[in-house]
Amino acid sequence: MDSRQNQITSSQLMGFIVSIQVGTGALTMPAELARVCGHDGWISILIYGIAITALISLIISLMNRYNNKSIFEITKLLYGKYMGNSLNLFIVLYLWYSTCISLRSYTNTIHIHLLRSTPTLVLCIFTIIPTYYLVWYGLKYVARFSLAIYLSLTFCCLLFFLVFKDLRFNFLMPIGQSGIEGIKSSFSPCIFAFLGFEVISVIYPEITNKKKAMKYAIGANLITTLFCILLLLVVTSFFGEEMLKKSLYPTITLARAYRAPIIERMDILFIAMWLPVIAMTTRGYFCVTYYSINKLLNLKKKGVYLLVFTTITILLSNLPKSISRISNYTNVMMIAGTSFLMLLVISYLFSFVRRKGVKPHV
Amino acid sequence: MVEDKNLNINLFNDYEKNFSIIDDTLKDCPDIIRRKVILNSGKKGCFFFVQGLCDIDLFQRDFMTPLLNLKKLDNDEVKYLPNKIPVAGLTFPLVIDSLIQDILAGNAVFICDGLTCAISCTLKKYEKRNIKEPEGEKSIRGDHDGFIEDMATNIATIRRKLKTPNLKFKDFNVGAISHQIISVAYLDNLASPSLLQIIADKINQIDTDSLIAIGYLEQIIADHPNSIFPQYLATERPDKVIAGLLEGKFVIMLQETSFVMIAPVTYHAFTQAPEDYTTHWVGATYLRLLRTIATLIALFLPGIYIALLSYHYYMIPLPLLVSLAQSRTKVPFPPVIEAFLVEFMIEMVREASIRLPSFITASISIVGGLVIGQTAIQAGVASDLMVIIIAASAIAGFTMPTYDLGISIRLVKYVVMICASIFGILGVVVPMVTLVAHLLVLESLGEPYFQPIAPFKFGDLKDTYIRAPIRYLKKRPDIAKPKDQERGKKNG
Repeated sequence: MDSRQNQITSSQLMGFIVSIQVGTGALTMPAELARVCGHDGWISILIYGIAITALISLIISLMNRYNNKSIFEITKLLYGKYMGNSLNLFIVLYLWYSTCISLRSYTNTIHIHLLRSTPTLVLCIFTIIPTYYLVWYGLKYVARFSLAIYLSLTFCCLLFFLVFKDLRFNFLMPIGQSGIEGIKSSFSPCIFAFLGFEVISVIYPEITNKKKAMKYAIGANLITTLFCILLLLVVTSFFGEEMLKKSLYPTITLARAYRAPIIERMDILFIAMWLPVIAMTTRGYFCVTYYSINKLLNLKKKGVYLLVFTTITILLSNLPKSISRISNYTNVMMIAGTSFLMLLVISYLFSFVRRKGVKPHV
Repeated sequence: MVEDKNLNINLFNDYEKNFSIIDDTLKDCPDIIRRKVILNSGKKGCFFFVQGLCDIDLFQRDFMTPLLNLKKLDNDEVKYLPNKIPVAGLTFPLVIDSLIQDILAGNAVFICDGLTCAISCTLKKYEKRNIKEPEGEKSIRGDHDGFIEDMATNIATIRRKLKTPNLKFKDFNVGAISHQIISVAYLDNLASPSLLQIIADKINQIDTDSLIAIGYLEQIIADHPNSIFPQYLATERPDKVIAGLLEGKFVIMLQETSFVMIAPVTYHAFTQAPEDYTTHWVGATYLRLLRTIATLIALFLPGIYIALLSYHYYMIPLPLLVSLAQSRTKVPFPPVIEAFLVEFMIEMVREASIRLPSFITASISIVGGLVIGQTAIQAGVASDLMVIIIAASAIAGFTMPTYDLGISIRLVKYVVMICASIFGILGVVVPMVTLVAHLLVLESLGEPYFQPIAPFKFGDLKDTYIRAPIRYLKKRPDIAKPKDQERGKKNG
């Protein structure tokens, strides 16, 4: 990738982050939240959304303290060469791991709901074609494409509107029943729903208008938070707490429950509209991982390496055999993601102690 | 003599030598007339001109006769010649090579004893067809004139419609054998100089014998030569050209072709017709939306139908499903084979009818449309709903105002059909995403091809899927990066 094809604007960053955050998470998140904190999931999302907004502003201030550097260069400055390199390895492995996991859960969704007899490997190869094509051309085009997320979100909101008359808001009462315990125990599903904003720390040098980056990144988180709250409110008041706990993909079930006038089985249409969104999570991580590897190893022949990278990713994502194992792997991703976030926070604090490479006027 | 074929030498003082060099170069060209004369002053001379490119009457009256009657003709006298010979274009080439180029371009050229320069006079007159409406781009309420193969006439047509000194033409010579001229028209106060530089660089890199049609040029200078989507708008309509120029775009004209090319353009330029601007904005918007829906139908309807029939039959409403199942019972093929059979038939009828005379085309449409279509259903080769679906998508494809985009849409449609037969609805979604991804990656002269959708430009949306009232179209679209964004005089 030459550098010109990686540069993105702040508004593209917004779409990019929203598309990574919403996606796979939105399909399973309501059920997982219902299991840990009942019908009060939306309060947890709201609280964690605010916390994460603070975290985003912190990440961007960390990035602003250094002149046009990504997290990979900052770790080297802060912790020395060896420590920094091993941390970078951890970050890349985390990103790669997220790519594989999201690719697998994406193909799993298709496998369960659309094509039961097609092998997941075939599905993986077929669905990765657009991703491969876009990543070949660079981050700029991936980010440009990710603006399509707004279209899918609009479609989803339309579905919410259609089922509005079937909602029973009694299911949400009494508000705040699960209390502080509920909020505490909803940590992992909530963080998992929001993960994706951490890629800012990797792609920050490619943003062209950095002054607006903070505003747009927070805006992205705001959109995700609002959408998740809306989704939780609708799904919870449609199914009720107990039913929600039992279901696996409540958002798709919601689409199936709606009876459209001409189309029987609205869910197929919904999945068709939602597939690009889920794919975008994969695409975002895929692109950022490939970009990081490129940057760390200074690769030149992009064609060969992208093919190798894609092949390894597809093979890795097919290692888990069954769906119960996938949730274990997701847990690992959540833990690694949280450690990455903690690393960013620690780096921010540490940058006040060890001032090497910090912009002088900050 | 001229052993090394190096003609890039000055004319000699010796008339016989000059004549023999030129005569040798132009031997076996019976269309080039050599008219030897002896002047009044007793000197020997010779006229060269191409029969059929030169106006003989004018040549005799205004060029030959005055020259023959001259009392004196030598190197000093030449500078007074423009006052003595009543013709418009008069030049004095010194180099043999440029002299020969002048002859071949249709000038009448005179060499004479004692002159170290030739006298070349522009007296072009050749057969050209009349201006008439382009067959491929008909218009109901638009203008009915079109470009023709003569570039001078085309330039005059543009100049007639844009009476401004800012209308500039930049000329390039291409073609090692054909020696054609490419002329790039633009409005100096609007067009972006950097884009002009890009075009100039691209054209200067061309190394070819001859550009036979504008399509050659289009393929050579395209940003993404392997894309099936057209990246420059080829047209024969002057009104499209004028509209393009007024938006700060460039018009690339090639000598001896009637098509010109507008650049840079977006995808949406290919879905627009002149009627969109000549009718009321509500009607125009309706036509635009109709075409957009038609595009989607042409692209995805057969694919979706195949996907539903093969994998998601439970999405089809029950009453329809019953009649569908009944009509499919007679058909032995899977839906995709059936679809391709019908599609292939339609494509063949289309391809056959394009180049045949119109009186045969009528009988083809009867054979193809009525006989084959009807009997295919009765014979159980295709189900009737499939014929309807394929025919609907074919008709939807015909709504495209440009021929180039029509081909692209058909090709994408086949890919969607094949994928849908393997992966169901996923096989519709993934090609759709890939298509959008491809449109995002494409660029026309370095400008994003799929704007104003992505990168999103809200201001430019009012002239894409809808057509806002003219009074709101005060800003020029951003695609060509015009120097002046506002239309009209009051805004500077």
